[in-house]
Amino acid sequence: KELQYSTHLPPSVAINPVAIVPLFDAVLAADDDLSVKYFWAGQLFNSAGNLEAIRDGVVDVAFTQPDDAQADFPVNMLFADLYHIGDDPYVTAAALNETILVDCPECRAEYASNNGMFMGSHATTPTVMVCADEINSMDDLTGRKVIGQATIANWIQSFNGTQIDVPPPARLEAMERGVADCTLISREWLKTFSIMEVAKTIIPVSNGSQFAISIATMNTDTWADLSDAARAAFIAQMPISVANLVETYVKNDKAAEDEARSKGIVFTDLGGAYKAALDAYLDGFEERVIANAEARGVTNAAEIVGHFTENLAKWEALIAAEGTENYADLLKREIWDKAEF
Amino acid sequence: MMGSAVACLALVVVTLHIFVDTIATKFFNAPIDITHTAVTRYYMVGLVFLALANVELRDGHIKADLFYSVLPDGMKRWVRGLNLLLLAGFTALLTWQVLLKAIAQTARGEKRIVAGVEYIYWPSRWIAVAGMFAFAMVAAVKLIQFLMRDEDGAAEAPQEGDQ
Amino acid sequence: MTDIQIGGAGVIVMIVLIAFRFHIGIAMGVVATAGIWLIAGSRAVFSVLQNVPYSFAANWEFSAVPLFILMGAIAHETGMTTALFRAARLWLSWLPGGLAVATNFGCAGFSAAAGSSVVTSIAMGKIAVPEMLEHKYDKGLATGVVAAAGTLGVMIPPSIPMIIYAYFAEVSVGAMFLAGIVPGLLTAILYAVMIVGRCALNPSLAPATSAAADPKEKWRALADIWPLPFIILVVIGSIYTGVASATESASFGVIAALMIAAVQRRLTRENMVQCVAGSVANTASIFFVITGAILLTRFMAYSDLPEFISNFVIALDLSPLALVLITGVIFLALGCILDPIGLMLLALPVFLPIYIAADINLIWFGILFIKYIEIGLITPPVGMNVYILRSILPDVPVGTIFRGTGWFFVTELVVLGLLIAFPAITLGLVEMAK
Ligand code: NA
Ligand code: NA
Repeated sequence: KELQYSTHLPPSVAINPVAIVPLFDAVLAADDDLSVKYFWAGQLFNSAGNLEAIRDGVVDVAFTQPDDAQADFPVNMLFADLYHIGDDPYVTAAALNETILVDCPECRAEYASNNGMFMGSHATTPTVMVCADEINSMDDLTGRKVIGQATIANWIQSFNGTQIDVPPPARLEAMERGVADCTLISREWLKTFSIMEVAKTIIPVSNGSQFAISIATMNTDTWADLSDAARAAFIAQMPISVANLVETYVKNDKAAEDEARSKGIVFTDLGGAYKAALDAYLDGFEERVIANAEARGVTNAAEIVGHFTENLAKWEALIAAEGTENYADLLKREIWDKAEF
Repeated sequence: MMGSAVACLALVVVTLHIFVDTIATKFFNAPIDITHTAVTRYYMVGLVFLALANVELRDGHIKADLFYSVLPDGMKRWVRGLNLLLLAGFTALLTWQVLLKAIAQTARGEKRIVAGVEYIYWPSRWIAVAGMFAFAMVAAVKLIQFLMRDEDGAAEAPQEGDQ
Repeated sequence: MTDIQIGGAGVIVMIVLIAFRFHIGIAMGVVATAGIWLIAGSRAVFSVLQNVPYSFAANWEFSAVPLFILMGAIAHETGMTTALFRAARLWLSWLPGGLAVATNFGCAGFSAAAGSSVVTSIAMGKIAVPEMLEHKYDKGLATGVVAAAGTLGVMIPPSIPMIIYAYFAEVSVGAMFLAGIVPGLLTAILYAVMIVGRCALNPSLAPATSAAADPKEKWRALADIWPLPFIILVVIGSIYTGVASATESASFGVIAALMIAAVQRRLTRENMVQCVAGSVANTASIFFVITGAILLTRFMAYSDLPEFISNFVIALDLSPLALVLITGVIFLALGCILDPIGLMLLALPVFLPIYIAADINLIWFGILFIKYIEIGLITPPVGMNVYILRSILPDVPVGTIFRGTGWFFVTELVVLGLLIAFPAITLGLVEMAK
C-alpha cells in the first residue's frame, strides 16, 4: 500500500525534512508493506485543494489549514482568530495540540466530518514587524501598508494601516517597489524569503504566531486500514517531529536575527510604544474572538478558548520547570499518550 | 450568446473595479474590501466560463495542424468525428464534475471571513456550471450534426490548413 | 503497465492528438484524465477535475491576461499602434527587418514591467503583430519574434518563475533578478542580430518599406507616436512607483488607452464592442489550453516520470558540467510537453537536490533553468506562447508560428552555450552588488 502525502510547500521548507519525512520514515520502518509518495509544492493540489483531497479520499495525508475552508471549520478557526495570543512556540504548540487532541471533541469532529483526522501540528515562532523604512515611533507606522494574513487586519487598522495579502515569496519585491511598507513575519523569513535585503527597521515585539494549521491531516479511511504497528509508529513519531520542528524554527529565527543585526538593520521597540499599542488593542481580545465565534455558530467558544488559555498556562509552567531538552517526551506524555485516535 | 454578453460585461466591470480600487487604495488609503472576492470569484469566473461556449460556436479554441491537412478526405472525417466525440465527452464530464462540486459547496455554504466581514463564495460555483453546461451543449450539438452529416463544414475553413 | 509506462504512453497519445488538429486543451485534458484514472482511479481524477478549472479561473494573477489583451486591442483598433509603427517604418527603413527588431526590443522593454511571458506575449502580440502583417512581413517572422521575445518577460526582472525558483532553491530573489538582467539583454541583442541577418539575406521576409524618406514626413510621423509609449509608460511607471501590481497596472493601461482614444475621437461604440468581445474570446481560449496543461502536470506528478528520469541521471554519476548539459537536454525535452510552471513544480523537487549535492551555483543554474523552461514556451507540440499568439491572431496557423520560432530557438541555444561557458555573464552583476 502506497501512502500519498500532499503539501503546497516545497520540499526544502523545514516542515518537510524535519517533520514530515521522518514521520513517514518511522511509519515505513514499522510496516514493510507500506511505501510513501510525496506530492510537493502543489504538484497535485494547492493549499485549499489539499483539504478537499482529504475529504474526497484522494490523498492519504496532507498539510491543511482551516483557513482555506472556513465554512467547514468554524470551531478550528478559533485558533486562527487567537493569533495574537501565541508567543513562545514551545508553549503555543503544546497548548494547541493538547486542546485539540485532548480537550476539544468538537475540534476533532470538524476534521472527522471532512473525512480527516488532526494528528498534530507546530506553532510558528512569533511574528515581528519588519519595515523597509526607518521607523522611530508609532506615528511613523500610521497609515502604513502591512503585508500579513487576514487575521491581523484589525490590528493593522488600529493604527490606520492597511493589511494587504501578498504570498511570502513575492513580499520582497512588493516591499522593494513600495507596494507595501512593512510585513509581519517570523524572523526566519528575513532569510528564507530574503526580506533582509529590504529591511531597515525591525520591531522585536511579538505580534502573535500562526498555529491554526495541521501538518499531517490523516484521511479517516486510510487510518482505519493501517496496521497497528504503523499507527503506533505514527503516534509515537508525531511528538518527536513537532518538537524537532519547533526547535528548528527557533534556531533558524536566532540565526536570522543575528545576521540581520550584523548587517546593521535597526532593532527598536519604539521605546515600549509598540507593545503599549498592541496591549491596548488586545484589551478584551479573547472576548471579541469568542463573540465572533458564537456569531458564526460555535456554541461553546468560551469553553474552548478557556481550555486553550489553561493549557497555555500549564505549558508555560511545565517548560519553565523542565526546560525544553525533553520537550518531545513531555508532549508524548501529556498529549499523544492521552489522546484517542 | 447571452453568456458571452455577460462575459463581456464582466470584463468591463473587472477593469473598472480594479482601476477604482487601485486609485482608492493607493491615493486615498480606502481600499474596497470586496475587490479580491469580486474579481477572483465572480468577474473572472464569469468572464472565463461563460465565454467558452461562444468560442466553441465560432470554432475559436486553439488547435495545431501539423499532420491533419495532409490526410485523405475519408480519414479527415474520422479524425474530425473522434475530435468531436472527445470534445463532447470531456466537456460533459467536466460539466458533471463542476456540478457535483457546486452542489457540495452550496450545501456547506462556501465562504470566507476577512476581518469580520463574510464573503459568500458558493454562488460563483454555479457560474462555472452554467458556462460548462453551455459549452457541453454546443459540443453535443456539433457532434449530433456531424453524425447526421449535417455540418456545414465551417470548421473546415481553409485558414486552419497549414500551408 | 507501470505508472511510468502509462505516463510515457499518455505523452505519445497527446502528441498524436495535437498533431491531428484536436483541440489542444482537449488533447491534454483527455489524456490527463485517462492517465490519472488508470493510475489513481476515478476518485482521484474527479477530485482533480472539480478542483483545477475552477481554481485556475478564480485566480488573481490570471486577471492580468484579459486586461492586457483588452489594452492591446484598444490600442490597435483605435490606430495608436499604426502611428507608432508608421514612424518605426519611416525611421527604421534602412534596417533589414526593422519592425521585427523594434518589436523585439519592445518586448524587452515591456519585460521590465511584466513578470510573465504570457502577459508580455499577449500585450506585444496584440500591439505589434497586426502591424507587421500589414507591412507584409512573413507571418512566421512576425509571430515568431513575439512568441520568442515574449519569453524575455521572465528573464528580465520582475519575474514570477524566478520568485518561485528562489523559493524552491532557497536563494535570494533579489540576486536572481540581478542575475537575469544581462542574460536577458544578451538574448534580446542576439535576437536582433539574427533578425537583421536573416532579413538581409532574404529580403522577402520583411519587405523593405519604400519610405521615400521625405525628412518632413519623417518628423511629422514622429509627432503622432506618443500614445503607445505613453500607455506603456503608464503601465511600467505605475508598477515601478509601487502604485500598482501587474493586474492593477493593466487596468491603468486600459483606462489610459480609452482616454487617449476618446481625446482623439476614435472611440466608437462598434470598435469598443469588438475589442471587448474579442478579448473575452481570447481569454477563454487561453484559459482552456492552460487548464489542459495544468491537468497534464497533475498526470505527470502521478506517473512518476520526472522521478524516474532523475533517478536515471543520478545513476550516471556525472561531473557538474556534464550534469548541467544532460539535465539541460532533459528540461528542453520536458519543456516540449509541459508549461513552465508545471515543469518547475515537477522538476525542481526531484532535480534540485542533485545540483546541491554537486555543489553547483544555484543562482547560475537558476538562470539556466529559467532559460530552459522559457524555451519550452516556443517548442512544439505544447508551446504556450505559440498557442497564445494563435488565440489572438486567428488567421495564422499554429504550424507557421512554430516554424517562425525555429531561428529564435537556434539563437537560444547559442545564448545557453554562452551562459554555460561564461558563468560571469550571469553572476557578474550579483558579485558586483555584494
Ligand atoms: Na519581467
Ligand atoms: Na513546448
